[in-house]
Amino acid sequence: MYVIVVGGGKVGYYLAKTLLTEGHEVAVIEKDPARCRKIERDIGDILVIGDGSTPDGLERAGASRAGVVAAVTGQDETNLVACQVAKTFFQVSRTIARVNNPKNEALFHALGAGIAVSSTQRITDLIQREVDTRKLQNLLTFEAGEVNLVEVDLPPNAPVAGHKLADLRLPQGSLLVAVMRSGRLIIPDGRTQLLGGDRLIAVSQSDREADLTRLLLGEGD
Amino acid sequence: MFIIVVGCGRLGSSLARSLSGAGHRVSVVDWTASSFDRLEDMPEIEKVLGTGIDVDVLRSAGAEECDALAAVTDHDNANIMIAQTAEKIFHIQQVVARVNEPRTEELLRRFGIASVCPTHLAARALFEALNTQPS
Repeated sequence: MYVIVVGGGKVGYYLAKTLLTEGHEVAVIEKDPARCRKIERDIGDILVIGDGSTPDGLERAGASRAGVVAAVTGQDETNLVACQVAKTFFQVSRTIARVNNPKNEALFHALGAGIAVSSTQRITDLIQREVDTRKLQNLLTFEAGEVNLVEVDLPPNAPVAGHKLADLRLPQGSLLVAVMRSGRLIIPDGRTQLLGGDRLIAVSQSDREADLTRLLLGEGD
Repeated sequence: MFIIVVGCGRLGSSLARSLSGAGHRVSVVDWTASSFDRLEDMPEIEKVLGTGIDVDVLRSAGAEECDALAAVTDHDNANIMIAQTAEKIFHIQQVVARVNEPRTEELLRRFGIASVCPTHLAARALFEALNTQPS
């Protein structure tokens, strides 16, 4: 797939390198000559020198045939506009914006930037998951936050521990899709018995997550 | 009217001054404290220190109650993001943005936001100044 990376800083540099290793065609749009030289020297001739948040910059990178545009500069406003330009002018269907200020993640969804990824938020989530196990953790968001892929670690005293899935009444609009047990994946069916220590992965409508939490973990402390 | 002006450079400060002089209540937002020196003699203009691309900064400048907002920093992308936030999140009645790159004005039109392109305006003014006597 042809991927355009807007921004050749640390994130853009490693992203481009990884994508190339996986066999994708990559172009990096970067305006700083020093960064351009480093990328050219280390990775090769994949550069478009210019501003990736303008129609001109994206046009020169051949945006109309790009499968994905990933805007990963250190400036949120640049990433937002780059994604909007890619969508509006070049009909790029998949755009991904790096969000530097976690507050802007929801804003980016509302303004139609495509997928918004906040590394600060991801790291915070990971730490929180280790600290607070009595909650559903969000792994992935679809439909601007209305549907989520969530994960939860089942404590030994969970009300559902020892029960077969067929005996549980999962809330409408949610589905248990995977059970991780001792490092192995189980695709559950009605006969699967849940055990304390299981890591469960479910797809759920966001307005059903409270019900799902209550079913799996009980009424709290 | 209550109007927020984001960006207190030469253009923003001059706009804020005129609006205030015309009797409007005005708040200016800028993330460089020294830029408010331009409006030192205008105590009636509220100065809010912070970046306009932060919803909380806009909120503290009065985005929830204002009638109009002008995004006039010297960065096109910031102005586009501020104007879209003003329109989509705060539902501000009248929003206008300064955009130097004419093609990106399309991104504002989609949101129904007015834009002003200083490059165009200056070019036209210069053209008219020079084109007064046909050869």
